[in-house]
Amino acid sequence: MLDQIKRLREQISTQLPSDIDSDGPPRTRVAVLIPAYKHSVLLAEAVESVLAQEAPFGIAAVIIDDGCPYPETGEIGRTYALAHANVFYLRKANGGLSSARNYGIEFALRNFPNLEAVYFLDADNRITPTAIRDILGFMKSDDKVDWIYPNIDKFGIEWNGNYTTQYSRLLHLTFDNICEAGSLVSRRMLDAGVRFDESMKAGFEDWDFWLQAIGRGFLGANYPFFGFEYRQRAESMLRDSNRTREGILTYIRQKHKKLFAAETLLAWEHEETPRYAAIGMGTYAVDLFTDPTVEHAKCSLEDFVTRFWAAKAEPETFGVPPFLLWMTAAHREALTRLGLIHNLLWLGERIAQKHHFVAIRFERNNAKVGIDIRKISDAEPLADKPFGWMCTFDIFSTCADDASDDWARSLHKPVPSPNVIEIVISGPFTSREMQSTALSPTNALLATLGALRDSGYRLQSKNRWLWRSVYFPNRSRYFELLRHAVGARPVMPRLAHASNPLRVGFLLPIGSFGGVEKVAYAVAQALKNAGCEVHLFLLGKPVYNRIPENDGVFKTVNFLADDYPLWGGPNQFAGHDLLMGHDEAAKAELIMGFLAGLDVVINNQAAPVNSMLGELRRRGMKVLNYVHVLDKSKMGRDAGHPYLTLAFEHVYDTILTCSRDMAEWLHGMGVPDAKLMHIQNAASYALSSKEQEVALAARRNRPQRDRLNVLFLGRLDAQKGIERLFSSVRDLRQRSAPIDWKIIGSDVMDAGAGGSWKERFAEVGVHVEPPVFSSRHLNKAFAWADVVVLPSRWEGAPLTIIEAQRLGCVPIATSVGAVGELIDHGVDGLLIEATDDNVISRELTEIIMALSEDPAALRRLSEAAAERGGSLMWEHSVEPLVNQLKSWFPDRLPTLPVETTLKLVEQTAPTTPERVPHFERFSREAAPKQRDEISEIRPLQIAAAGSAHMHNLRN
Amino acid sequence: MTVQTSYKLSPVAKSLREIDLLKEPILLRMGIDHDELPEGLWKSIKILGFEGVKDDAAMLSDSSGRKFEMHEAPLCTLAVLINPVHRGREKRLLDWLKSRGVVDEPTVFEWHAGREIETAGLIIQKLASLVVFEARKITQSNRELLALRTLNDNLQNRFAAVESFVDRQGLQPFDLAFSNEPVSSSSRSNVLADASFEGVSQILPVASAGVSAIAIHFERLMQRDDTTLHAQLVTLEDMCVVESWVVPLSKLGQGWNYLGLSRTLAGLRRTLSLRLRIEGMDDEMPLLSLGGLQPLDMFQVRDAANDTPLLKNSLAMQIWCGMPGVLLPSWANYLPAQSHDARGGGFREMPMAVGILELADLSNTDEISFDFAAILPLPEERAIGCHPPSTGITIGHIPAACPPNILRISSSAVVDNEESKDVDFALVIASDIRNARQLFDEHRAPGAGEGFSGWISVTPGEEPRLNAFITEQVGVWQNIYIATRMKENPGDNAFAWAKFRNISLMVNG
Repeated sequence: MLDQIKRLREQISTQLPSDIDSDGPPRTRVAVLIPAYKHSVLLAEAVESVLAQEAPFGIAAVIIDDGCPYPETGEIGRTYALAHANVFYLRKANGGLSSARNYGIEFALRNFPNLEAVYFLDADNRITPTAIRDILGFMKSDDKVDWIYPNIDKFGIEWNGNYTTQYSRLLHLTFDNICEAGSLVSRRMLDAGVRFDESMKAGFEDWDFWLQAIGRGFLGANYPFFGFEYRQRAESMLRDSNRTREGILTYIRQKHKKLFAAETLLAWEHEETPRYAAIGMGTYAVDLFTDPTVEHAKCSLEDFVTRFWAAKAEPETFGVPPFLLWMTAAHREALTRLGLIHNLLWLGERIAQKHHFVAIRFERNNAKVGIDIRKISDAEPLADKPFGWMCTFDIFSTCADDASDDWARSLHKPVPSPNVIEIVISGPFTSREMQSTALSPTNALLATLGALRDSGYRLQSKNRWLWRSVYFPNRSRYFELLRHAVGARPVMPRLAHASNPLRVGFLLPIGSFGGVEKVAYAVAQALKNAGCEVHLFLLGKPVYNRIPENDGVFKTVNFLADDYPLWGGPNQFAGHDLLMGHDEAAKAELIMGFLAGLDVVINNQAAPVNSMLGELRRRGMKVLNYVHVLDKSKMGRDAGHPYLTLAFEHVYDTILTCSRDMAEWLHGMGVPDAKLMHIQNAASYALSSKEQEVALAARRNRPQRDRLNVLFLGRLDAQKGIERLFSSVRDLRQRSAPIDWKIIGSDVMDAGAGGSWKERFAEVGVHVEPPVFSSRHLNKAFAWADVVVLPSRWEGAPLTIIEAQRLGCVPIATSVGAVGELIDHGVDGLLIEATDDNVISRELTEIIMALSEDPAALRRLSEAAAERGGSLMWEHSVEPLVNQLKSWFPDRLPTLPVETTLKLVEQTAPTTPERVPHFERFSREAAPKQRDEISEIRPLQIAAAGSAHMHNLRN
Repeated sequence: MTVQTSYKLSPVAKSLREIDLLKEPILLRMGIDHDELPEGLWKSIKILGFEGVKDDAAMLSDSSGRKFEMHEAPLCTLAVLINPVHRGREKRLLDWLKSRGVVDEPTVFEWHAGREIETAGLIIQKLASLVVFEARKITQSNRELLALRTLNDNLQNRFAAVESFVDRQGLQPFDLAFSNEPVSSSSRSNVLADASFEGVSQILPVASAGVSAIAIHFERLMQRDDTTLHAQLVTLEDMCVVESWVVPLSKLGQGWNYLGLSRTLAGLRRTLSLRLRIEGMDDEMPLLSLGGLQPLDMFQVRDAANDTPLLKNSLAMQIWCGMPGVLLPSWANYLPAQSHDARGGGFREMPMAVGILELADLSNTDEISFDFAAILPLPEERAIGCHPPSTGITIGHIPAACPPNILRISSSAVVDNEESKDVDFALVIASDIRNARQLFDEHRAPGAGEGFSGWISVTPGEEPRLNAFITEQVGVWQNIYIATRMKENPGDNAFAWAKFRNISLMVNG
């Protein structure tokens, strides 16, 4: 800043001779606009201070009498205008301060062709004789600056406030109006149309003015020796406006919603007061950032040390990042590659505020990505070499002030004296990424501490040198302003990419292999292909079970890694426990920070987060809820996420359903049709047409066999109808039917009252194989099977059916949930309509028997199934969603999809007229399929099967 | 615009019409019948005929031709309309007005039938110039009012300070407000030697209000009489030099040296910058001590010429504070300031320096010639003798003695001999003798940057004070003119030992 002042003084000294017109009075380059209303006497003082200006250029004083009822105002204004060539008196009808200032601006622009700036001087304030000369020079010395604002030097009720710090938009938006109206404003700003809001008559119109300027890309700067004198009396308009502050602020926030958006504030934080300092190890270079993946400032360690002590001495004027990180750039890049760097910083920040130091360690694991947080103690000592350290500026500052560094030096020990938490990050790190560095992060940390402690600046930090009173918050604590502004703690340090893609967050309770996850991943892939930037948020167990096909889909993976209940709450809705935003367990600030910076969130059955979605929506985020299945309670009562959806219906912009059935149910329960969008499920993983053809050809060319291969794939639990399956298997085994069984699944989640299902199946001679998740294993299982059975008690729209059909594996399923939407009974699969367990088991047995005896029917069903399964594609299914996003965010998504969906799927697969996927938004006009009429189904069954055996199916 | 009334004013004798004329501007007509004037003109302003002077009263006539006596000069005679045939008769009227103390003679316009519009235009032009002139005077008044208000604020604060001083039972505080102790440096950089000719500057870490003294620390210096330390204290918000010191090095010592202010700074708080330079020495510059490394570049010691930091240190210094506006305590051992700029704003009456009085000289040498000096500086009396001629006036001048920010020049007028006849005295501020002469002759009113005290008659034994107020401040230095004449003119100028004594200037700020 002093450099700028120096430049200014040089400029002034060189400008003096040339700036004075030789052929007449100096031209007006600055107009001082003085709105006058009921300050008739003090007005003269303000005008006098303009007339006293010592400047080598013309300065005009423009008095705008805003319909002041005191005749004296006019008398004084006219008198000065008569007496001085450079004083102008304008009289207008009363319209308020904004209107008066705007009036003056238009007058100045019309009448002073050489105008370079205007200065707003309230009628009761004053400026010193050198003010305009100095501040115009100061402004012109930096082309990036378009307004200059003063420190506040009040007379009357005397007070001097230090407003000297590098201008910060973050501070200006989140703290207070740091720019007094008595500022110099460039002509560029006026030409750009920045004006005072004339509807604002209760104050803070100047704040709004600056926000307009910020919105148009202009920046301000403080001149520390401005010479502005603010008359403070016991009452003022400003005080009045402070009384109505909240109301005005609400208006301002609404008007400048984009400026107050979390992503905007984050970007300013990154630019102006970066939250993290990553101190290089051995390089003496310091990276300063909020988001390390975005271009950011750097400085030398020496500069950092200077800033550190400056921040200690004058904390509201100078600052350093509030969180310090010691980690190599290579390790940061490894975390970036895995999409974990933001999450690590977020967790590190959260933990560092509660504990002295945070150690960071990597663990290699190709099967999963995860976070483990553990407290270091005698029982759990530190690992040999941490990959990084984090701590707060406050802790490090205390260490730097400490008489001894023994306490910090104990970080070398397995159980250090400071309170240490270790974050262990597991993931598919490469061997190179797992390599440690020559200088350990612990040594780097201690070396940094040594540099600070040995610095000559350390002595000066005890004295305060700026004499004006502190008003601003500490510059190293602007992150708290950001937190407060977005209602978050801490705020995820992720900035928008330069190209500003639409950022969509997928919220999931866990990152396992369930259908909900698979659908979420597939939709994420499709949205990514449509041009979105997709992020995964896991609110429960901090583990993401890796599916290699999904690598690279999510830009980032984020773990809440907190004790967060995935269900329940102290409030009740339709027999469901639920959380509301004000409940402590909702962890409002934590969740707001976790999800900050997104444009869209899609909640995929993460129940507690519903409580915060309303707040996110209020802050401009679009909120979607993805509903899959109406669950059952233990007693058979309808339950689950659809009910939570009803409870929170008003907070969703759109509700996605995987079936028309679910959409109908929600509509029937009171959800407006306009909010409902059916996304047709498709296979969860990619399969090239060539692979599909090969598999189907293999099936067709399979030698005629007497035995039927039957597959069950899923959890061995009540929902999946495991008792029904068991009963059928047992019957068929007892009959010695020609059936080969492959049961793949796990009964870990619901062992039931009868002990392990695995053991019970073993008792009837069927081996239960462990679950498979990879596409290769799934393909293998479906290729082996002639039929796949799903005797479920309830379902959504199971992916297993679609994936099985795609490979010609015929689904036999109970007609629950949206299963009927996936199977055209007797055409590409078979439905069991019964609801009684015994009947279902018996029908299942009979169907299997029938198919085992009728290979022709099986083949026909198989062919039709393959055709149907292959026709469903996610990019078609998500088209209405993409269109919806485009309508919400025009220009944020490309017109054409960037990539094809699920890359390996051939896009030209035909769709049969009978089975046009429901690409369009689900329409209420579409007649629901009548599935319950056996009389209608039977002819289809007969026609499809073409077998006499099928007659018995329903008899 | 002032209303002067004579001692002859008698309510009983006053007619209603006369009172009317003391309340509004009028036009006078001479040799023109009321009916000759257009209706539009006489409906817009009162126009009265001047018929002559009888028994020291003006005879005026109204629209109906009715005559009445006017004892007082009208409040504001905008102009006199005269029939060209009667040209010359206006002198009677002007003399009468002058005898009533009217300084600004009304403008006389010839009235030609058929050229009424042109004449009206001239009147409007005159009126417009009057309005502008009045506006300037009002703004000047505002300026003075502002200065008074500021002065009042300062006085309020100073009185409050005095009250608290009394409450402290006379114990003037003299507290160490800030100390940046010297540190030993291996580099021992000599900032005064490294700096340009303009020396070094250091922003102070305390507000101006309350600063009593600043101590700087020399690690080494040669105590020489021919070399001086020049120190200035400048406020950065308005770039005012609030205090300065010129101290021979012989009076400085190693260690702390206290630069005491004329009085503790008062008024609005400003940021202070201390500027130090050594004059008269090219080698072996004194070694100023430095404080520790300074992380805030604003407070690093800088080259005063280009404001570039010379080092990453600030100067070693102590700042002592006391009660605003109060002199340093007598027990404090300090180097006194040379300037008196620390007194803050407001009006200040400054006596004219004796040396300047000696510059006084005769101006109208073509008119005045005596055997002795007509203009005689009398420094021992702080006076200038100005001997009046028996006829005409003696004009003396003091060249470029009136600074731009002056509000008023004053002087006592003395006739220093009992046997003298009465003498008229006058003061003028003007740029040259031609303008001064016009003012002394009362041919016109003072313009911008000018001032005229008016003539004041002085009888021996009296010592009235003459005051010439500047009409409007201009940014240049002006000359001061003094003049005397015999009240009876021509008159006996023997023993007319006329003297302007104790000439003083009132400045603002």
